[in-house]
Amino acid sequence: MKRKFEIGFLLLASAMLCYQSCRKPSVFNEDLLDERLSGGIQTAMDASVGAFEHEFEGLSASELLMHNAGDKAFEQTFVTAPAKFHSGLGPLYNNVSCVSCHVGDGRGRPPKYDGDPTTGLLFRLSMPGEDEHGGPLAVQGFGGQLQNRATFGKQVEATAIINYIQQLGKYDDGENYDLQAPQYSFTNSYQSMPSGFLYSPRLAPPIFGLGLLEAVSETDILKNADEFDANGDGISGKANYVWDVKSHSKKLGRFGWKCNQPNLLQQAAGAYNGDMGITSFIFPNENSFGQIQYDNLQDETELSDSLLYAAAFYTQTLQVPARRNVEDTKVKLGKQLFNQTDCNKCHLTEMKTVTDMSRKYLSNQRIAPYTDLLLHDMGNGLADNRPDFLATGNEWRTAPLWGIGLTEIINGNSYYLHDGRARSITEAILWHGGEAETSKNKFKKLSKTDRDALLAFLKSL
Amino acid sequence: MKKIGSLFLVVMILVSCRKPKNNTTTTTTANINQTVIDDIATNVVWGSFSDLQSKANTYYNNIVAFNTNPTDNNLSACKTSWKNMRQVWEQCEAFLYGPVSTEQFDPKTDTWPVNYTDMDSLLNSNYHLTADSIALLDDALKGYHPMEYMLWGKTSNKKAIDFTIREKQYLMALAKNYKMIVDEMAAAYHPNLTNSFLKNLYQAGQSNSIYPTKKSAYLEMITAMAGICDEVANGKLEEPFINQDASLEESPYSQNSLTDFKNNIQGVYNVYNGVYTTDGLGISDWVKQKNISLDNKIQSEISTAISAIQAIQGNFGTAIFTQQNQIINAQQAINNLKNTLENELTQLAQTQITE
Repeated sequence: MKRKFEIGFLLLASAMLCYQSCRKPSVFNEDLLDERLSGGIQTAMDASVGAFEHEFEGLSASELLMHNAGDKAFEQTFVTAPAKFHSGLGPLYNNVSCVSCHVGDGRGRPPKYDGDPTTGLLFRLSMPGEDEHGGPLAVQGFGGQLQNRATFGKQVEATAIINYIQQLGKYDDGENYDLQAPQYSFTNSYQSMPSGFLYSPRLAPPIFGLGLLEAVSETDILKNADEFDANGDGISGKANYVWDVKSHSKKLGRFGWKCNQPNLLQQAAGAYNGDMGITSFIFPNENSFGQIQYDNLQDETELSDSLLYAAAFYTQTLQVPARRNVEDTKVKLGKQLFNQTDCNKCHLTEMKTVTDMSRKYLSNQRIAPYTDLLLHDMGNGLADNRPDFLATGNEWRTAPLWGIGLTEIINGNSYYLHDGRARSITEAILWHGGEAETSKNKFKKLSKTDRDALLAFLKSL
Repeated sequence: MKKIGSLFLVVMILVSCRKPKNNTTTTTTANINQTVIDDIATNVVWGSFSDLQSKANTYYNNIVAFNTNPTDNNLSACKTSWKNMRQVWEQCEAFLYGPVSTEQFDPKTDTWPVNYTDMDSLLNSNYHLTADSIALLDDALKGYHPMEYMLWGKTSNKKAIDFTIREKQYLMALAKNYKMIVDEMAAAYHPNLTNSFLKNLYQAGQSNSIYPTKKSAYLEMITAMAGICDEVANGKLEEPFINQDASLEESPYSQNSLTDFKNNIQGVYNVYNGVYTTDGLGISDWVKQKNISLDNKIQSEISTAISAIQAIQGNFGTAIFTQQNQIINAQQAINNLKNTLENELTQLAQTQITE
């Protein structure tokens, strides 16, 4: 803020007297920005295996109790009904607990072999067309998701088989690379799968920082939308509007690989229901309802409202890990290259949470999630060809990149993209197409040194 | 449940506001930093997992003997060897990082609760009960707790004569399945194998994607120690006690829960002191160089926590109704240790390890 020396002494004295109480905000000095603080005040200074598991600072005692209850619920294994505790698993399901897919609150991994029960990859199913809310149309006898596991005595819906086909490529400097393109088929189905059904593989994503993303205003998200590329930069950015079960209305989608969930409560309830066969007030019907393997136990609702809210609250109150090595020369160069290759046009380096005095712990925070929470055409190579509300078969949400550099530490492996086909961050970049084709080609044009610098930057996130 | 990061932020701000002190770092620090990691990796982590492998083998042999000759004596040997395995495993829970977590060896062997509904269905079915076939079943039908339930029975007084043919088959399959999983788990940590996870610890700070710095390896070990303290105090002890429900107990049939809890904290002792069957350098040796009073405090809190658990008499399922003070004392003692590890020791590592 510029100060004028011609201001009279009296005015200056008055201003000084009022200084503490009526100081106007000044422009934030960028030099003072600590780049490590990806989650604002909700940044965890931890780069160990527990880096994704830190609760928000500033929670009240009751909020902390709720977070901890949610933490336990997140780790809880469910079992077949009837049971005294944690009853209601299945009869059809993908996994037995939240943490089984979101290992260490991080991401899942694709199956190591056909039928691998420990995978964090599942398949959404639909038929061409839309349901009454404009969402995917369920497949008769299979619903909206393939459950590849079943309680004892029941049959799995089907088993997904993945074959990877090698795809060779070259950087502009002549260095070779190879990618693996997945090919899917389904076997062992309990009844015939109808012809023409659509499917979409979805890998369990990390769950930290979601509360901050939920606290970004709709206005802020939509100001980056440019569905018809009016500014001609080759990047669209499209909002998805999805069905909010609780309010019975369409809402902006911001979670899930296709922005197909409007909020974390519904996201949690959907996962309990689709992935574990656990019913709640949001989704009171079993995922097998109407199918021949429906258990007909009349034991709904299996998850209490309070536990569902606690589990959702847990995902709303997990800190973001801090960036590392932000002063490293190579990392700094990588950051420049990230911007020069236009990665930052979708992977936004800055967002802001709303002002919310009832939740001061996430209010008015400058965050660096590296997403715009919008859909983009990512090209045919990544397309699942399955619409999800307004998302076309080619469109995916910009994946948040914060914490991506800790993937190997948290998960002991590194599989990226919606189906885990990319075995490294480099491969994930090389799979970009569609609106990101130009950025990918810019990356391919970089020298080896510059590519390494860009990767060093991404690993610092 | 972790507050390490934000506390560190406060410390960093305080440090940055202070005038620098004279550098008093000793010249031996660099050496001891890696030796501590090496000794814990070899002596404690590998030492424990290899011991578990050996005890799983003994357990399996005893189950085979019981299956061949189902006497009460042979059943008793099975129960003893189950407890011996359990002792090692519960100590291992102080270092659940690496493949035991990422490859989910923990849920494969120690899922709770047991899926009794499916277990009944399984035993009443014609499903082939072999190690290979039960490998296809859910984790809640395999591992310690189904084995415990089979061995002791619902009322903890099962006799050899009480076993059905299917139960013996199941017990055999469980033992072999468990042995196979433990073999696989131990191999993932074997120090001499090419893909051993321990190599990441041995090479901490040397272009290592898992532990890019030695500090990150220390923080991993400290976080894991604090984590098991949290689980014992605020999960294993808390849940049955606060709900006044013995069926929430961890190992109810063998009535081994209190021993489990004690061994969890013993695992913290092992890592902190770098000792299992072989004694080496532990985190304590590094802490002593930096802050002797903190080392004394942690040693004292470990000892107090173990004593507080041992002060709970009889079996835990009964103690939750009759020994409330002892249980609260144990929770407090373990939480004190957890807080010291999570706060003071973490801060020390964050600020004093620069490599």
